[in-house]
Amino acid sequence: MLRFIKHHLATESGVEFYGIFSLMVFVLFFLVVLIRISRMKKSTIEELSNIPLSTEEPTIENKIP
Amino acid sequence: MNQIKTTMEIQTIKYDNKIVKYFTFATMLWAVIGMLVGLIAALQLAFPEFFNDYLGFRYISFGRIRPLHTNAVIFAFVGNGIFMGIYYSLQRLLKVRMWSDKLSYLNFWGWQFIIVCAVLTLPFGITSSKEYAELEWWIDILITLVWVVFGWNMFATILIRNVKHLYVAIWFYIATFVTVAILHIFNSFELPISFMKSYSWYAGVQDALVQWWYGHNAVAFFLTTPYLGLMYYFVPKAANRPVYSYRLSIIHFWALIFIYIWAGPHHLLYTSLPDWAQSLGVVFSVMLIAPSWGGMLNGLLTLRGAWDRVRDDVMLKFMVVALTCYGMVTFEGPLLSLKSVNMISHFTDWTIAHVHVGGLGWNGMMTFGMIYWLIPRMFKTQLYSRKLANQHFWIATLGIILYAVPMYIAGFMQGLSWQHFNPDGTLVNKDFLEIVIDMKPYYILRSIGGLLYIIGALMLVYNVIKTVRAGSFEANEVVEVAIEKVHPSKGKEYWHRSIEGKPVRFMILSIIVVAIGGLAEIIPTIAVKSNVPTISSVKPYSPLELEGRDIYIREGCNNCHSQMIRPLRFETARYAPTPESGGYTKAGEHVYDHPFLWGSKRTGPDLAREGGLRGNLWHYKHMIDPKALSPGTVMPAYPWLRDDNLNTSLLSKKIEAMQTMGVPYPKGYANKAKADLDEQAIKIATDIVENTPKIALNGQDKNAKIDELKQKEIIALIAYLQRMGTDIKVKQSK
Repeated sequence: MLRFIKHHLATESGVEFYGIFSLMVFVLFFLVVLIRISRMKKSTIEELSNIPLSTEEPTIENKIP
Repeated sequence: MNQIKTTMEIQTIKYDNKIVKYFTFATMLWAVIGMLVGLIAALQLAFPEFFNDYLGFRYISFGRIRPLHTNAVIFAFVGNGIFMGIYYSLQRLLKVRMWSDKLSYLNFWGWQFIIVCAVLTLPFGITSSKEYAELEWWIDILITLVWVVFGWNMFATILIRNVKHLYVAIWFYIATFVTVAILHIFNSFELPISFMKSYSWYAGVQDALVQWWYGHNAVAFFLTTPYLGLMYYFVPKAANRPVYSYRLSIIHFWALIFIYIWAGPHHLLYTSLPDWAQSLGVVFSVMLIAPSWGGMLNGLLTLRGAWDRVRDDVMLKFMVVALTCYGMVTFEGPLLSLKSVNMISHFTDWTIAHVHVGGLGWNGMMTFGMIYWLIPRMFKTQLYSRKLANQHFWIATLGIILYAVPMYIAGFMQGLSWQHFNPDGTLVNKDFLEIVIDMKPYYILRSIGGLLYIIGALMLVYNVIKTVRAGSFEANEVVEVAIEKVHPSKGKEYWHRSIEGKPVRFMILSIIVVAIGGLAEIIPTIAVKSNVPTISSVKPYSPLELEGRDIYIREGCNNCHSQMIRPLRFETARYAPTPESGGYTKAGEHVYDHPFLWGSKRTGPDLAREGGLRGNLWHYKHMIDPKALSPGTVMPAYPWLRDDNLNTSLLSKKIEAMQTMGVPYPKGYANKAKADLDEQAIKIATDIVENTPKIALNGQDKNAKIDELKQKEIIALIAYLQRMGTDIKVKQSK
């Protein structure tokens, strides 16, 4: 009876392609992201991360009295 | 450095604060309404007798308002919260007013209109039954249109921006827009048969896979990515320091959107979904912990060296608890997706606890934090009472704990009791009801937790009203900002800057990344026919069963009853105990199920093999007064099914729609369906009346009683219940 769930697609030719394809895409994509990020300059990083702080908002007291 | 040349120029900009104000007020309004509906649903489980006796209205029965609660909280409360945060931060991050005021307000009123449509359809049983996608086809179209308005406005604003780079928050907004659009459109393929009724285009296993690909990613791209974007804006703002690691935020972003989209099948472990798809879902769910925790830590570490301020700053408190809850939920998520854990947790209240730590903790607390930050700034005054806000923080935190802990205990108890065997191999809790009754104290406790959380939300509303009255609102905030003018030149740029500087390219890359996961999972299941093994004895539903199935959908029975017996010993021992009963659920049994009704929660028992287990009279009595047959049950009564006549005006259209979708009814069957329906209805009605003791007929003539009964809705529902899972049962020869 287990055949009803065990072997879905198992007989379909080329089905293993989906698994291998998924793994390949995943690994390659992250390698590219990691390598590229490691090569970013520190000054750029600093500039980018300060973007939200570049606008002035009225100062509001948040301290709990 | 790259060779892009920039010059500075001072410009006056008017930020649109009015739209942010609108969305803030809408967020608060729907928060209270959505949570109140949730509280009513919780109380119905805690005090079922009271609701049955005094508030047994069909419009608020559990199966109908549970979807109302989930939709209200996800799309109305959090949805408006998303727009509130995005409309505020986007303008400031891009140093430009929204591209079109008209589109902004179309977005606002369109979204509120959709919510009102949901409120006016779900309690009336107008539903597609697919979780978090219950709204009918024409509302789905409206959602698509309003979502496009939002995306269009956002993109146009990005294109006219006065800054060079897109800050990380905006990538999350873009990914949210793109992915929600894809998910919503693909999951909403429906065949309308009338204004208020449609059938899912997909059936059975395929419908389940598409639904949970959507369902899981609704959590990912509606409750998570937009809020992460808002976190990357509001946490640095509140802490007044840049995000801990911008590099980490880039990894966080790409990893999260890449991995999330694959994880949907973990909602279908041990079901009839193909094994390989389940495994794929598990692997990616486990991997998800990396980007999720990367994001959480990035948020929390932004406060490094400033933790003393968390003690004093009420807004930071909300954000820290939000991030902590996000961390807990995203640790628990991968855990729950492991097959061995899922075996215990699935269908139990553990899931309910899990989503509420996310909903109340992550989305709720983050939203409250944002509102406390935004309101004083937009109204140019101090918050009316920071002390009250602090009290709100504590009552809300207590509410979360009081909600989650009992639900965790209830979940463990259910999961373990369901699979508890005696040494002789019989189930300890043979009667499902015993376990249901044990849950009462926990359902009461969680109602108290929910109540505390709502009280907190009301404190916020009061605080905001007082602040708004004291302040003066500036609809158009005028600021002078130094603007970078970009003079493009040829040359090498940083890879990521070249993407983030070009929003269209960025969007396309996001679509590709998201689509890879979706396609690799869904294409094989949809395209390969042999994926769903055909079982020759499985036949389409009879007309009466089909009508009964629609009543099952209307009443939202699938909110509490699953139709999926997993291939586990404790499941088959309970729901399919004899070799003739058909065993666990097979994919091929559901090929004509438009939509699938596997369910995701077992507040009541599984019904996959319900057909033939009990007599028609039992079902008849049980529907009208469940507690008479099952003392202590939490099931609502459905007396209106006995009183209302079955409306068969759409029957031929329904049959034709099924034929269009490939259900093999004979040619021209639509015209003969009514006669078959009547014939089956008479059989069931006769059986019920024949078995009813004379005294219960109150002196009414038997034939007259049959004539009256056969037209009732309850007969159709019983027909459907008696059909469930019988296709592959071994027929007893008489």
